[in-house]
Amino acid sequence: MNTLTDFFSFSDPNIRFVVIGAMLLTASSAIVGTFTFLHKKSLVGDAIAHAVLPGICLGFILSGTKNPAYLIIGAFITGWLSLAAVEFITRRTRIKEDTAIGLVLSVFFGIGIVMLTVIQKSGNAAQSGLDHFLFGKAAALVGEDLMVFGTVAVILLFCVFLLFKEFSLLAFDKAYAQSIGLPVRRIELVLTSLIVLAVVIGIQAVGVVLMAAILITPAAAARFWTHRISVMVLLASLFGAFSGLAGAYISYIAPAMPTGPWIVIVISTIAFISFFLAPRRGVISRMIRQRAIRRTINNENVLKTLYQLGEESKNFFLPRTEADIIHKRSYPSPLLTAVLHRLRRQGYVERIGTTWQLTEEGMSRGQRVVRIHRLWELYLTTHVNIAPDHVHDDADTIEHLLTPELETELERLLNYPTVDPHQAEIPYKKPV
Amino acid sequence: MQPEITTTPALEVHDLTVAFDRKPVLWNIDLKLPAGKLIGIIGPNGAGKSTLIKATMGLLPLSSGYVRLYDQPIDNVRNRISYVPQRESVDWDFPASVMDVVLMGRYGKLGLFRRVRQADRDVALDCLRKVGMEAYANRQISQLSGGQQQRTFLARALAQQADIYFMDEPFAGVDAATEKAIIGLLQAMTEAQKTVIVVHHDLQSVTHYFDWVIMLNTRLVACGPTETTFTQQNLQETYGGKLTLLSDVGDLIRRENFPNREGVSKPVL
Repeated sequence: MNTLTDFFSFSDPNIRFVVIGAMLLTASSAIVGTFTFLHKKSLVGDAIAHAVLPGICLGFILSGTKNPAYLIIGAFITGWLSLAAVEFITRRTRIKEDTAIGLVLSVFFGIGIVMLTVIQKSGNAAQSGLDHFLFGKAAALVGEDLMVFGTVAVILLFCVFLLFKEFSLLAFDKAYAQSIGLPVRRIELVLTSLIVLAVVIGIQAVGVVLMAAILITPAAAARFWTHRISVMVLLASLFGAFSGLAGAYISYIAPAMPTGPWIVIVISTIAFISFFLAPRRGVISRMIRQRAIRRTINNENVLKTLYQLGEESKNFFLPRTEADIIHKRSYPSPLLTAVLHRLRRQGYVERIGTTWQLTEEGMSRGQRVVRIHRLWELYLTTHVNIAPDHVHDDADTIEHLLTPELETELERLLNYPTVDPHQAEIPYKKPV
Repeated sequence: MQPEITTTPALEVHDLTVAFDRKPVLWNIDLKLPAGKLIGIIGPNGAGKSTLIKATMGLLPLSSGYVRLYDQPIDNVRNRISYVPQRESVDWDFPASVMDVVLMGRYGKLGLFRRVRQADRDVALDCLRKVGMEAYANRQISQLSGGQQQRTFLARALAQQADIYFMDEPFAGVDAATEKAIIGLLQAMTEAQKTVIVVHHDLQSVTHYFDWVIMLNTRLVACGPTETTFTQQNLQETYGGKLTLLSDVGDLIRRENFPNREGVSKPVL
């Protein structure tokens, strides 16, 4: 049988529950998580996730059933208590927030584990499955769970929709939000409640330990791809939903595979891919830009050397051997050859036998680099008061960087000087 | 010490004391500011300049005293005040465009839950034009220079269409062209009877820029029209004479966990 079509036909109600449940949980956590991330409260999310465990146990002890409604109420209460504890410690003692979070997280989690162990040893038959909250039970979701999750997800989405601009402003500039009279404390209270709610339902899928991953990772991944909050929220929820779907599918084709951890692996993979591949902010894109800059620098340095050789012999278009060039300025020989071939393809030099000759364009570009170098040296000595023997290295960088506008500005500021601090001539383009 | 203001003052600060961690950083400030003036707050580092404007706007808890704007408590006139925080106080790597930031200036008028309307966009764009940034409306704020960031903040403040403006070092780290553009704009605003209060660092430009000055060094040294107040003697007192005893007592209050006021420290109105 074809497992792929079996799975995606959703004819089996169990598959339907698991898939819809997992996607609802991950997508709504991701949306709330985006604001957690932008408010720089990622660690707080982790603290809440760990702190809901005692609440779940308490809910079970008091109600005697595993009815999700009771467990959620218990989880909500201890989740909130943990936040209040963090805030109290940070405000009233000299302990900083990160330490407070670490303290609260471990104390609440520890109490939760103790309670869980006591319940398990109590011999109460109804308790079996309570330990699912540690690592999640996405593969065992049933229709009743879906009702609860669906309701909570709708509440989360509705609140985020209503308070979208307030949440954004608070994340960007809280003091300003206060100054225009927004009820900052109350909005923060709502956001924190949403985080607690998202955590409380999210742990059903991935468990207490991995919850922070589905809260924060989709937002962190989405941040690489966009500069707009609305797009970021959308992307994060898509990433979250996809990881929920993929986790459910993987545990379907390989029943030994746990759903929750696979959700986390998928979302982490998406984050890694974003980290490397995203345009502009991604690592690879940065590497490509760096490479382009290095190439420009190498190109211009060789053109500059050829130009300087021309200055010495008063003829810019004499053919030079590679040995001539290396004699003037040392390059690793294979690099020089590669750069010269690239410059030939770009039309800045010609190859004549084993020698190289500047073209008109190459001469002009080499001249520009030399001009900027000397102008900058002059500027540093006359305007910035730097000793003439300290300016060379600065100018070596600036000569590749300066835009034509800044170049013109520099010339004007220095009043079109003719010699640099080392009495070398500053060359200008011949008037046409 | 302070000349009487005959009309209703734009801002009245009465016996204002602000403490951080119990240590007072502003002691018993009393001042009245007239409407329609460009007012500079000057003083050395740690003099409490930013603290004064934040406390005035109710962003910090007061240990004593009260603030009235146009003879009303601040919360009644929130829509008439506008705040330009220090540029470095926010993370400019935030996912937002210049337009998004300027639109934040409309949030106070819009109120909770309401979406931004086309009319708000028009106002925002108009304010961007006033600060010479209309070409950058869709630019990501992470790509702005220091001067452009400051202009963006200024446009956001203008979009509030307020009557009194509090600006925290709007000239810090901006280029000369931006500084000139901003001061021109502020002067035009005061001509339209807006009151503009600016925390300022550069003493050389004080007499060119400001109609009034507030000279501050954890206590109020002087407050009044620039020509009569910005004197050598006042400068000496603001910058030269650090009152060691005053700050020692402040430290003592913090160390001993003393309240700043006996009994309940509710603002008296």
